[in-house]
Amino acid sequence: MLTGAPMARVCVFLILCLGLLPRCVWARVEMTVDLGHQGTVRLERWNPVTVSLHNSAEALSGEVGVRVWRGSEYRKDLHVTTMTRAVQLPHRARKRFTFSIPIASITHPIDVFFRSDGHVIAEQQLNLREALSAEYIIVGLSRDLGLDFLATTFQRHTRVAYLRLPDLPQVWSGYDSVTAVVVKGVSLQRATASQWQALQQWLLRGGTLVVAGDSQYALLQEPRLRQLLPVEVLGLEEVNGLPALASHYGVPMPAVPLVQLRARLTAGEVLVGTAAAPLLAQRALGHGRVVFLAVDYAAQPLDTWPGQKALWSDILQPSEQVDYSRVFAELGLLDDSHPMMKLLSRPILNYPSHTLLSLILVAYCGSLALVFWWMRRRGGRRRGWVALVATVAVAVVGAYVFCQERGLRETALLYDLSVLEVFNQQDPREGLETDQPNALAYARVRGHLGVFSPRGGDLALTFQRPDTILRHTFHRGMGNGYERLNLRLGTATVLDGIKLDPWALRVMSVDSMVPAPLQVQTERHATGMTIRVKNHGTVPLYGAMVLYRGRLFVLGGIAPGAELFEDLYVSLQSAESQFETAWQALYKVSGSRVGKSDGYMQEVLLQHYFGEAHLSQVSQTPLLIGWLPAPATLVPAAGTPAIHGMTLVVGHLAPQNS
Amino acid sequence: MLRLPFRQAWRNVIFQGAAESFGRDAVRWSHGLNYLIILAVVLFITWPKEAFLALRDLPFTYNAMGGAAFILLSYVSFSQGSRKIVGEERMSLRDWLMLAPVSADTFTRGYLAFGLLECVFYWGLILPLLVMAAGASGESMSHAAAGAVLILVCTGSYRILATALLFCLERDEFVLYLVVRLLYVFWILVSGFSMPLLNPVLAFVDASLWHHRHALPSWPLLGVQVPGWVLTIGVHLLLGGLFFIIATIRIRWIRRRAEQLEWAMQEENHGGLSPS
Repeated sequence: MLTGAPMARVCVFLILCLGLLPRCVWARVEMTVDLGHQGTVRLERWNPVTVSLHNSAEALSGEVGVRVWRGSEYRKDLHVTTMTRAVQLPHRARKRFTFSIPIASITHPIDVFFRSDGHVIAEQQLNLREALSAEYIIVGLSRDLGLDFLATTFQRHTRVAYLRLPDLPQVWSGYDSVTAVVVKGVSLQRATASQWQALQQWLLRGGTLVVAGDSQYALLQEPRLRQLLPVEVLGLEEVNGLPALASHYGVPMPAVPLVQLRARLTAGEVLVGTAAAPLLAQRALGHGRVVFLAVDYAAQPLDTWPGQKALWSDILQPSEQVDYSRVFAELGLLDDSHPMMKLLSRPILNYPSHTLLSLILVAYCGSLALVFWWMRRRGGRRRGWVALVATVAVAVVGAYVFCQERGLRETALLYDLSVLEVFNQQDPREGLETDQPNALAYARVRGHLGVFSPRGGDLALTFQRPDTILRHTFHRGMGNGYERLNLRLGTATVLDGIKLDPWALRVMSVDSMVPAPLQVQTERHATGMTIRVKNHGTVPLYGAMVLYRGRLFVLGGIAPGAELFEDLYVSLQSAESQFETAWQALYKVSGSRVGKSDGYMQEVLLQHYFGEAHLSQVSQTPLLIGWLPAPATLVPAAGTPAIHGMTLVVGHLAPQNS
Repeated sequence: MLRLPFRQAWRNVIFQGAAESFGRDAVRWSHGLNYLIILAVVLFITWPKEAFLALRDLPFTYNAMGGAAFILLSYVSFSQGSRKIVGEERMSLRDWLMLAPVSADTFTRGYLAFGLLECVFYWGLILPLLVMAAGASGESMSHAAAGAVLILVCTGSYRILATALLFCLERDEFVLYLVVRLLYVFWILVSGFSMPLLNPVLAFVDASLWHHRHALPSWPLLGVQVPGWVLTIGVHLLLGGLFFIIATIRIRWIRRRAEQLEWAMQEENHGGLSPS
């Protein structure tokens, strides 16, 4: 038994030892995880995961991450993607982080962790078998729970998630699982700039925003909503029943007094009512829609009206069809038709020709023969040996410099083929002469990336946009493509851990939204249309053309900052062959003017975008096509091989009538 | 430090003489040129015909080039090594050593050093072709360097082996001819099936991109996993060293026998002239 001074020494020693232990040993971090929108997830889509951390011990720095399994063991393409975000946790800090994660099946759980100095401090596993899943997720932004009836309205399994404004996603991918957002009695002006941008981007990508009226009509006159709505809200009026709605759906409605918004149509179309007094109106926004309902769906008599199902079917227009292209891509059935696989099936390498090779070989053997002849005559003196060594050395250097396939000499061949779909939502209230950049000018970038490593190695790719998501990845080739990827999220999104064996290829499909590099305005006139294109980007647009009614109008190149104004006369332009596929017709115009390598990339992108559709099938609405000879998805970074990039710019034009 | 062995070799009279005769020997140049033309034809035939990136096939040019170089250069090493490079074709080494005023060690070192110089000569000629083939096959320069070292070490050791056999079997030319050819076939062909680590062609493949497809077994050594091609180099260095020792012992033995014979003849001559 130790007593007195020895005991004190032992205590001091122990205290010193404890002091040497890493800080993470003392860390006390509580972690709570919320999956999906109020616990509801949608399979084959990207769903939000919100991680809340509370640090009750001393300050820590580390990273919070979510690990997701994708692919299938049966197909032998199971791979793990870990998304991490750097975190600083001061003492007693409480922080919340939201990730968008792909959930393809419920087979594998999701791991959420917080680690510091390589030690996992908090960890949680989410069992997807226990999660609620739905085929339609409708987000309600309202003060009441008046949307509950939608859960049983459709044949598909539907769930309604009522979110508070602060809980709205900050990035567009947070809405990927959402079918529609219904707003009533809530001011979107209070949403943060990133939340508003995310909502707009999701709308342009194909989302549905439903704005319903109630007594607080002023909320619909606020700038943000006014910009989106198909109507201009003028005020309130009291009506007795809604005969227009009852007659439209053939379901009688009691004539009770109720409040209806007074509005007039400014864009889009009226579904019920008139342009001067629309009851139900909608407006297309990119691939999405904004729907205006002039009455409160949760108030009498609408809440008990039997025609609600038909009304909401018109409002949401739910697609009963499965998105097979998305499912097939996830199952890997489309891997071999991926643009990168098509590109690599073309002769993209650049070997010295047989003629050049034979010339070099003849020159080498001939010069050696000369040296030998000279040495024989002179009796193999020292100068002869020096000449021999010099000939071999020059030949080695020449072989290294001139007889190489330069792509195979690099660490990796890196291709970035992107399709940039410009959503230039023209405000109908603005004329063609306006010079103000459009607030809804975004572009969707679908990147098809390929990393081929001739000699193997570890690679990292930096994406141009921090909100880029990795939709699908697979590997091909003789070597193995290792199945652990790490997506570091932050100011720049970096995909690292791309480990490849020699002669292996990793192919990726990514998706992101960017500010539109082009501002396009069009106006239809009697004999054609007028188009005005301004290049806001830093890369020149070349090969610009408009495809309209089976005709191609070549616009040419537009330098950065430059503007092009053109009148297109449909009657004067000769018609292209209607039996020709669209990609062939476009490639004939653009592909012949570029080099071999760029030509292959353009051909593949056009084939991928237009498929086998004929000119007449794709040119009913005017289409702007152009090329940016640069990568639109990846950023050239130190240590990254040279990026061979080509971007197809596509803009669906919606000309206004003059 | 590094120049010392080269300086010593250059001062070696056997080496000097052999190098001088090599400089005048048109047949050797012609051998070198023919052998280079054959490899150039191999390179031309296996050069990629189309610019496609075949994901399911590794490039073939570099390994075809390496394999052909091994087949030819090994044969050259075996056949040239088992031929006399000093003295008369019909004169035995014992007689030659009796007449030549050089020690056994000087003779062995000079003889083998010249043999290795000849190997380096043939090896140097193919380097540009090897670099071209590596460039067309996506091989790194480190792979090409490893392949070149393999070729040099293996053919050098075959040269020493063949020379040692010449010293041991010079009296029976037919047996020497047969043994040398059998060893060549064993090393280039049979070992590939029975003892892959001895096979230089497989080692060459192992030191290339094809490693992931046809890997030689690697061995743990001092906690490090040594690749198969390094083991092959090690085995060939051991082989070269062993046959260098055998050659040295044999020449010393021949020299001693020659000296004994000389003494015996001198004694016989002396006895014949004595007045008794």
